[in-house]
Amino acid sequence: MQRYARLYLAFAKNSFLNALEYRLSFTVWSIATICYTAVYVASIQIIFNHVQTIGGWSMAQMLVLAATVMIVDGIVESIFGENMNALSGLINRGELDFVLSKPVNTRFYVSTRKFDWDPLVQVALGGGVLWYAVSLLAEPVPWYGGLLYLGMVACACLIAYSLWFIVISVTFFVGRLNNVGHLYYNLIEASRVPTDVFRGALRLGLTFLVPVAFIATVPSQALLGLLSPTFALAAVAMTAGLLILSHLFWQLALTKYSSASS
Amino acid sequence: MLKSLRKLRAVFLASWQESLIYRAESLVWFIGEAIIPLIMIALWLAAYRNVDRVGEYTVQDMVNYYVMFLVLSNLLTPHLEWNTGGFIRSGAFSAHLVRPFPYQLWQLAVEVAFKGVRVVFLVPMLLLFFLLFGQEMLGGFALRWEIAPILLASMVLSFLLNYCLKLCLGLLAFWVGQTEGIIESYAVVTMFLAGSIIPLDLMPAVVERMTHFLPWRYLYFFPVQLLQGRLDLAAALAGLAIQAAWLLLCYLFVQWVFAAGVRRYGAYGG
Repeated sequence: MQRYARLYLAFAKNSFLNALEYRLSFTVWSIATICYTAVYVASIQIIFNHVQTIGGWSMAQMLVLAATVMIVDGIVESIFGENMNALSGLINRGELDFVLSKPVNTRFYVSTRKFDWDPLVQVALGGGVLWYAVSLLAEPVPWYGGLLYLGMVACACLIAYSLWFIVISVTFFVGRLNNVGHLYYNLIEASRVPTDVFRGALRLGLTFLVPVAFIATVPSQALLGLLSPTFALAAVAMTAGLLILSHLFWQLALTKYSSASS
Repeated sequence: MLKSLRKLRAVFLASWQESLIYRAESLVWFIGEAIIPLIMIALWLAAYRNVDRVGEYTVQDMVNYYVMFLVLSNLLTPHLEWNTGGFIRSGAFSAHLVRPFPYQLWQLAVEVAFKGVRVVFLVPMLLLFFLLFGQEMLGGFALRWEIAPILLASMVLSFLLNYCLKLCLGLLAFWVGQTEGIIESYAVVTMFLAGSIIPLDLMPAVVERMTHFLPWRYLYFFPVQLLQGRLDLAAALAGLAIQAAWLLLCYLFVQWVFAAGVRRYGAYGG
């Protein structure tokens, strides 16, 4: 355990030094993130120029949701993003050999080798949007809201990572499908809508089948004091379940690895 | 003329076959483009439970707007900015400079070929949309026959205008090392200004007026307005004229940028 902590620290330090070399990239990505935040917040405000509520959500509540998506996505992308985007390439080109032969857990290595500092800008801006949104709320945040929110955000990050990892593991079976990881971004897009908007089977599916609801809707509800204890527990169970499922799937997929190179 | 057409046909056919190899990847990109209209439709359907009309849009118009927008943006958006930048950075661009026809035409033939696969995906996608939102989707159509030729012309102009804009973006790589961030910023801002998130006529008056003086309004929003019968013949012709003017302007600009860029080009590697 201690060894892995040391290893992770080394990875992060190495990535930081790497990031220092590409300072311009950081600036440019910051600008892109600012554009993106402006467009996102403006779009929500424009929609609410025309309507009062959407599926029971007010503008301030929608902004809480928007901020949550930004925060969760930013955290997941900075810790796992670069690694996930590189992973299907490693599998396709047979470069996973170099990882498999290392004296370290393969999943740990392929998931955390690179820490991306750029998306942290998105987390910071998401925090700003959250601050603004909370100041607009009609009802105050309950006393336990902040803490429960942090817990649910942590669950959301792990759920998003597990789903991303599962999707990329499909590469072992399909082979040449370099952009399969992009399905993760669709998951994030879908989580921008409160799941209350959907009805019937679709809503159930988006809660339990493809658990989009837990990415942003559930954490937002936690902050707003709208989350039932059952759902909070369901989020924890979902997180544990998906971490285990993704592990099992990775083990199974690894047996299909053909080591295309050498 | 005939000879260069034959050469382009060969490029087209080769790219068409290449695009079939990458069909699974194309499908992933396609889903990525469909997701935003899909979530916007879901949002608006929920919003319309409390109101009958948003601006000039009934719920049918709104669903139709996003579906048509998806169809048009899929058909009319080339994605050459990434490739072009990559060629320039890696030096592979040199090979294009010595080919017997200009890079701009080669890439155009490639892009048209890659659109073919998208058409194949669009059909089942439209069927799915139809199953999901059946009546709402068709209600918004109001294309009048005298507008139809203008619509076709505007679609061709839109593709070419888009092509020029994206080519400019790709050619930036002559001057800037990493263009990804710029491309992303461009994508986000123009997505907003083109009306793919929210219809332009629902935006605050200042923004809406501003979009009249920018090219992006004419890429998809203008053709969708034609499809929904929101413009009379005079307004449609005026829109087409503005679109053509933008295309001419962008064409001249991109040719100038291309020439200036090639003079700067270092041909590393390759």
